[in-house]
Amino acid sequence: MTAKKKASSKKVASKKAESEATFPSWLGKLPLALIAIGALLGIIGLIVDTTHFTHAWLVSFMFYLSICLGGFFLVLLHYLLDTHWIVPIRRIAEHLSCLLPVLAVFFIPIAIWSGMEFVTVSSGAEKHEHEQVSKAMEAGENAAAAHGEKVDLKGLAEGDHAHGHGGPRAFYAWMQTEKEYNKTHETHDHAWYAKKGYLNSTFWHLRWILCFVLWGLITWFMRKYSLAQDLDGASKWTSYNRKIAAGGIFIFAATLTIGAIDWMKGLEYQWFSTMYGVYYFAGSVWVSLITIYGISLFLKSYGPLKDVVQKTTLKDNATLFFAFTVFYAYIHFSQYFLIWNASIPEETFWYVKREQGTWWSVGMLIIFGHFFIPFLALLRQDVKVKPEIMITVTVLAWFLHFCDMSYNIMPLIHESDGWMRLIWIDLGCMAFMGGCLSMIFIHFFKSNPPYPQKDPRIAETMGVYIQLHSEAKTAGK
Amino acid sequence: MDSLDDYQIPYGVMAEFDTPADTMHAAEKVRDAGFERWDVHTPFPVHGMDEAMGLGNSKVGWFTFCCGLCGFFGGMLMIWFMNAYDYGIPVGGKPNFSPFASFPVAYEMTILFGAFGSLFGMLFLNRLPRLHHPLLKNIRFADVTHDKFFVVIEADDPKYEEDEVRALLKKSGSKHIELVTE
Repeated sequence: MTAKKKASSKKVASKKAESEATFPSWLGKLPLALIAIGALLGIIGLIVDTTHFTHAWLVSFMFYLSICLGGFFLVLLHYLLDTHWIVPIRRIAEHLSCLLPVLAVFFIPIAIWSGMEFVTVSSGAEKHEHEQVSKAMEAGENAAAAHGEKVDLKGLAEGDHAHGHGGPRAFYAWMQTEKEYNKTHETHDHAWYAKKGYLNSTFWHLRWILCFVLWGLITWFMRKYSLAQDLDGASKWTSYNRKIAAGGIFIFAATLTIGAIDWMKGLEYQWFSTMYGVYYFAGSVWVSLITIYGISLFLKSYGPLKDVVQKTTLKDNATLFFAFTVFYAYIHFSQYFLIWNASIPEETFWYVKREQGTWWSVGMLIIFGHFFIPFLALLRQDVKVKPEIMITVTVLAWFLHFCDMSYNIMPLIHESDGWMRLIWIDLGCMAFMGGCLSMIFIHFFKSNPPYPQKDPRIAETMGVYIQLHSEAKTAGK
Repeated sequence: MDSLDDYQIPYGVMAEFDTPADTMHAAEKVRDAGFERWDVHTPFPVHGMDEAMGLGNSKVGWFTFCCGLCGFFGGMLMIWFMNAYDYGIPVGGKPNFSPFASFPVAYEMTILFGAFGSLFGMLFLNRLPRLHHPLLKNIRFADVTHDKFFVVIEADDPKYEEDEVRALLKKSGSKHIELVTE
């Protein structure tokens, strides 16, 4: 780094007002525009199809939750492993993780809807559900017959799908079963009855409150200590955060799993998958890494992080993204493979439903777009720092993660065509939440130093060590 | 009259450095001077040296990729041939061949062949194994495994001119320069 560049980086760090001026003018207006468009589409969507709107809201919520939790994970990871590559862009991850309390606000409607009975399923999906259950049962009976066993699958399936047809049902269907059970003290829904120790409303509400409180506290403290270090540069702040991270990683693992199971998997509570938490985690960190990549590329080209974010920073970021591309594929394949291999109707119905009509295409899109394309595109080292390719990958990753969340949630209420027809509601929710979150993110970013200026590893990560030597050398001559 | 040295073929000029930073800047100078057949020897990997030497991406990746691809399709083909074509084994009413069941094995084969590709590709590109190297008989060069750094410009280089090479390396800050013979 030349002396001139160094001076400019110092200026950026100390005079925030100037760095703000370098941002394009549309940046301030974009969130507002997104909120306006999103709110309009959302309100129309709410009137046109309430069921779809609520599920679209959940898709959007789970999408942004992924990004924030991914940011949280990267902060924890940095303090646990003392990684230096992430230091220049750690502030971005910290701000993302501090958006979690905002997501708590977005979760409140879901908490209100959770037990309300208003969900109507599109006739196609209902019909299909019937067909799949009988198909799956047939297959199961054949398999059972082959092993010379007699299993009462019919009773089981009827109990499980008691609420799949006829009348409105609750957003989380098991809450309806629970209500009926509390009234009459009997139920035919064995799938719920066996799980009622975990799947009961009181515990469910306690869990989401606990998750958001823990997330809010941990992320807020970690950012607070990180910001305190910007002022005095004391190493004690790093050790504080290390201690928080050591416990926080366990809390993170537990709460993320709870979140994924309660809010997304709980929609189809009859299903079993022990990989679901890891599956959501893999997708979360994947999309979060590429989001951070995009943001840091933007901040690098528009000033604030111009001299701080190095080529190696971007390369390491992309490498970890690449690793998570493989990890996600591994996890999702394993989930599918185990269910396919065991071929038990209680498990297969989830994927059978997702192999019909458009959902089959979405599944293929996930296989190729979520894995093969980014995997093959990022195999080469030099591609990982090429802005035009990486921006394409960022857009692709956002789109695919949206598809992934929809793939988990939407088949419950739509066979397939209904989803495509009403996708503007989904996009409205995405725009609204994205607008709110980006507005707060920009506020966070502008009111704090853009990167951890006095982190013990900031010099190392900027490659200053070697350069200082050379400067001393040439100065000496 | 003739000393033994006069009958020996020069291998190249070797320059010794004390720190990674000095070596890196010497490498930058040699790179800028346009030499092609030269190398840097260090006791440990020095970050940024690839760029300082003007080296591009390693070509080992292509060996890994091609071998990995062969491993993947070879694995699939193997399972299809054995379980579905040559001697069909029906299991649990499933098709005799399915990409899902074959995937874990094909994946393992990808890794195995990819690793082979990396190892043998690396050996091939480095022209290894070889039994002897002229630098190894130099007593000072033994310190390369301890705390010394070396830049060596080979006599095969089209731009090689002993005096000029010596001058260049001296200008780069080397305290010890000597000619190494074959």
